[in-house]
Amino acid sequence: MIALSQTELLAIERACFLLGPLALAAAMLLLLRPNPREATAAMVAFLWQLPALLLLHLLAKAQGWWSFAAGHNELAGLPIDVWIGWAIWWGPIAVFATRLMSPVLVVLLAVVADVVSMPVLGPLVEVKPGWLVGEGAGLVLCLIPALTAAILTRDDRRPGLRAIFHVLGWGGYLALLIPAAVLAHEGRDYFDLLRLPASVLDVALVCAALLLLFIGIAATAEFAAVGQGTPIPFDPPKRVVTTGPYAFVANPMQIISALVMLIFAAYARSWGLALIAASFAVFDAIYARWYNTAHIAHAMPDAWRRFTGAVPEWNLRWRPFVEGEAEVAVSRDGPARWVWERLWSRACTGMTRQVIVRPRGPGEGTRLRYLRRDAGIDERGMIAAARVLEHGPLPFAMLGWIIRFPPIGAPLQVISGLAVRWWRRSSRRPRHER
Amino acid sequence: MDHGAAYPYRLDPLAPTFGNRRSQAIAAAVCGAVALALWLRGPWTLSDADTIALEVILPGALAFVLAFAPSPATLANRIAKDLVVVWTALAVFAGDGIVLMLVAVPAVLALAVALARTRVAGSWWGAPP
Repeated sequence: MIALSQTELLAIERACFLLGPLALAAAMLLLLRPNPREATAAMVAFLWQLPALLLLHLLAKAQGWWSFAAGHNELAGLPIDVWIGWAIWWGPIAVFATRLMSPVLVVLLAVVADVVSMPVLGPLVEVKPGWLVGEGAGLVLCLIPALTAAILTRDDRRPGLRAIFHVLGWGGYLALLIPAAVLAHEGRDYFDLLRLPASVLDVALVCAALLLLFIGIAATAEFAAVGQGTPIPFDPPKRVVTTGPYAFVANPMQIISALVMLIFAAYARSWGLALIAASFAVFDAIYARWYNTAHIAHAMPDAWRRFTGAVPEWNLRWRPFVEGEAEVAVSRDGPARWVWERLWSRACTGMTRQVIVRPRGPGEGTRLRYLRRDAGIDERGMIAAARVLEHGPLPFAMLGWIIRFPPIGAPLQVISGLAVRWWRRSSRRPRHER
Repeated sequence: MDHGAAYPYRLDPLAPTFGNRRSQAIAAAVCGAVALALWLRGPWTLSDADTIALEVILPGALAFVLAFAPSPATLANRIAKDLVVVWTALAVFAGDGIVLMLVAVPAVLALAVALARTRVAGSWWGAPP
């Protein structure tokens, strides 16, 4: 019997937690021979896990669910080898396992494995009272979303939901993982970035970052709604997306990622984050640009040529590029007609280009309708009104993106629906009753 | 919609290129790099197991697997794949500097795009498979 010291046992545990999942994932890759969509799904799950597991670890530290014995090669107390191994275990391995069993069974087996193993994994892991709550948080934050995003990617379903996962996941990299890793490398704390603004410049930087992130979300949502795809090159939109932010600039997401990182660098006074911003800029300006030309231009040459001929890659247009025409169906006597005739056409003459307004036909419901056949857009109510705004100059379009932002657009849609109903009811009443 | 689920890649299973000479040569070079890195780090003790796993075996294994990944259709991506394999294999010598190597990956990809425009690249990396 070999007697191992605590240090040796810890080192072996850490090595096994990295190499075990790595070997299993490689074996599954070899045996199951995934197709490119399945491989992309596995990658999506892995990429989800890295920021999600870091967030879970920070929560576990704060709540006292468990702690790791790290000492070296760690980030905020999370051993990097365990982190990567865990991401492979709950990422590609879990996704490949869905070829062999149902996703529910995969989750159940993962829970059983954790519940059985975590209490006996000392000295690497020390579980504390209430750690099962942390296990539940891990399922909700990490495993279930990763599996859901992966399965939807594999089956090419629900692009809107996939887009939400990508927004959250990329947000996790931009706002958590990359700053935490870079600031730790500089010997600083992640919370240097999360400090409250201390000057006017800080407030301006925060506002600029939030505005840019919002435009990035709008661009991702447009990829999903119009292109039925995501920003990941292996799961891209299935048509050239020319609407939303893409009507003003061809590469909004790339520009925004680099600029937001630059803003974070200025806010945290970090040269390391500035280097990451430069790295993003190199990737966007050279490789991503080439990738677009080589793949999208090859797959959809005519649409791509028209789009890139009209929309600059790195500058903003003041007015949108609108290909084709949009039909706007307005009721003959509803509030939308009133707004159109009394407000919009007087105040904004010439601002909405390529919009054909026609009376709403039978079977088109009771709300304003915006129809753009070339882009596959068919919206009603306030969302349709927001789409009309996007035919105007950039500030109008941004107002449209804000209205279409689901947490804002959904209640607005309900409120405007009630307003339309109230308008119609009051306008149907005889004059003497009013 | 212009394309379906099989865009941008077909839905055929990914087949490793075990029979490809270039892949074999690169994978052999990766194994050599890992062996050299292990030798340079010697003598090891059991308490180094985690550091060696993270800093040598992990990049080495990734480079080895990527060396046998299917060959991309475009010249620049074929060059990018080989450069990334070599870059990942070199990471076994980097120690803590692996972080800087990660940050520099976009520059490696940019180099692949630049190389794809040269005449040498076409003759070295050949026509699409």
